[in-house]
Amino acid sequence: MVRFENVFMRYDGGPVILRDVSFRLEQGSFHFLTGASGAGKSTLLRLMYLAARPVSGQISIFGRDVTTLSRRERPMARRRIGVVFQDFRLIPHLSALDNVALPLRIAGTRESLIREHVPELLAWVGLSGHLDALPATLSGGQQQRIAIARAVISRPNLLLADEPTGNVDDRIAVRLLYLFEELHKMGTTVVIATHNENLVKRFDHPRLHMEDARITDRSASRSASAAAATTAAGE
Amino acid sequence: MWGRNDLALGRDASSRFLPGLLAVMVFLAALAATGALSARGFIASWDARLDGSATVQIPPPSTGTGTRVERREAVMRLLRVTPGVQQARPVPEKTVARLLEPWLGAELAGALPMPTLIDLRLSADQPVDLTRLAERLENAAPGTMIDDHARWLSDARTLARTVTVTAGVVLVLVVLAAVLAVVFAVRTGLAVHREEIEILHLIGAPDRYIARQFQRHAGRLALVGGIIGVVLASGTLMGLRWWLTGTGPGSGPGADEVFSPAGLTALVQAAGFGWLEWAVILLLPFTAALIATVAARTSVLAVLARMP
Repeated sequence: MVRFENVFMRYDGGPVILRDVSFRLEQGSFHFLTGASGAGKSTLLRLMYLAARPVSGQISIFGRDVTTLSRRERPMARRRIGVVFQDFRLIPHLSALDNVALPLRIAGTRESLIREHVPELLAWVGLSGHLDALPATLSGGQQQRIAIARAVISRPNLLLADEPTGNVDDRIAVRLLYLFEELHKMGTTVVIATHNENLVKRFDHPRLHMEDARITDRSASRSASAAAATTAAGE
Repeated sequence: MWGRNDLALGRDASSRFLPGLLAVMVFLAALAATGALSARGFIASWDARLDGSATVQIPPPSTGTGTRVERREAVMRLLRVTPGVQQARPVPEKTVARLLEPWLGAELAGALPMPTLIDLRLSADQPVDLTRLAERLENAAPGTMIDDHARWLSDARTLARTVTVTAGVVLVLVVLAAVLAVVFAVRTGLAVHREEIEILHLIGAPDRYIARQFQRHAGRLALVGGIIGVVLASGTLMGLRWWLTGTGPGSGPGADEVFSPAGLTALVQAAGFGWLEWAVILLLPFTAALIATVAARTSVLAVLARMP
């Protein structure tokens, strides 16, 4: 699904943000991407959602080298990737419904289907009473849920979330993580960048840990580790 | 043209100035286009009126050249037997006096000896040798001249061509200015909405999806501006025509009105609006909308192609 090979990244001759990063994410997996601020998590995600190109190395997503995608090919690839931005990046003058409907409208979905599916999804994220609300009139948590709904409305194969719980309290953060788990169960590959260790510990998923522009640790989930330990003890 | 806009382009400053600016452009374009078409119509009208016609002018008699009536009859006899002259009609003295009245005043026009004028209708199939006819007229009534209006028509054609070329240059400049205004507005819009455009890109919008939003918006503003411009231009043209004619819409000039202030009225009427002029004027807002749409699309796609 996602494969990085010897990826180096820097912006306009600045310091190296990613250094010789290589990893592979299987289809339908769920990973936490952890590390201190400035470790390179957001840049790694930017490369994954095709907002930037690496200085060197190869990035393959959905079995295709995305570093060589033409400008015409990128939109189609991006439609298979849902992104939840740390700062939500909602369009301020559009209602909650219209923000969530954007990916469908871009894809040319019929308006009748949009009017059917978008309210359903907004109800699923607990915003059924806010269809016509503008983002500025909603709380941080509500805006975050609109951003999530927008990211998943077109059923992406890959869901990327950059600090999705950074602007909400712990109770809402846990609810959002359950939401991502639901999507994961439906077959979506999920990568969540976070520095919230409590959440990572609470949910049993493998992590990619970044430090000094590298991936320094690839921990398996606790259940997988326990299973491996049991197997080893049995042997 | 009226589809949904994800970008709040209507709130941009350009949305306020662009319709006004394009209204002025369309106003100028309408005046230039009707100027050119009217000049063309004017020449066509006078060509039709004066082609195959001529005017004989017999000066008032002097000592030993016969009476006024004798001189006129001598000329008329000659004209009647001249091959190619289909019709010869003396212009009544009262009409000649009325033609000169605005320049000489009623009193003087009635008191001064007037030339005798004869309108000629010439055959198209049997060309008349005007030089030979002029010599024979001179013999019949000394001092008599013939004018086939060729010089006047030639000057008028030159004037009409100048008006047409000037109008064409004005039209080209107006279109260029309109395109520049749209491009400037679009580039400002791209800068203002850069963040929203980036969001649209990241969720899978191709450049043409974003370009469509700008082209719809520009086309809509141009149409509104164009309609305002056309309304203003129509009002101005009708007002101008009414003012010049003093009588409003009417028919073309008679042969006896050519050299009077009423003749000016007649010239304006001859250059009056037909269906072609109105069609051109009514099409201008749509043309402006089309130009704005194409300019916006081209400009947006060019700028987006340079974005990461």
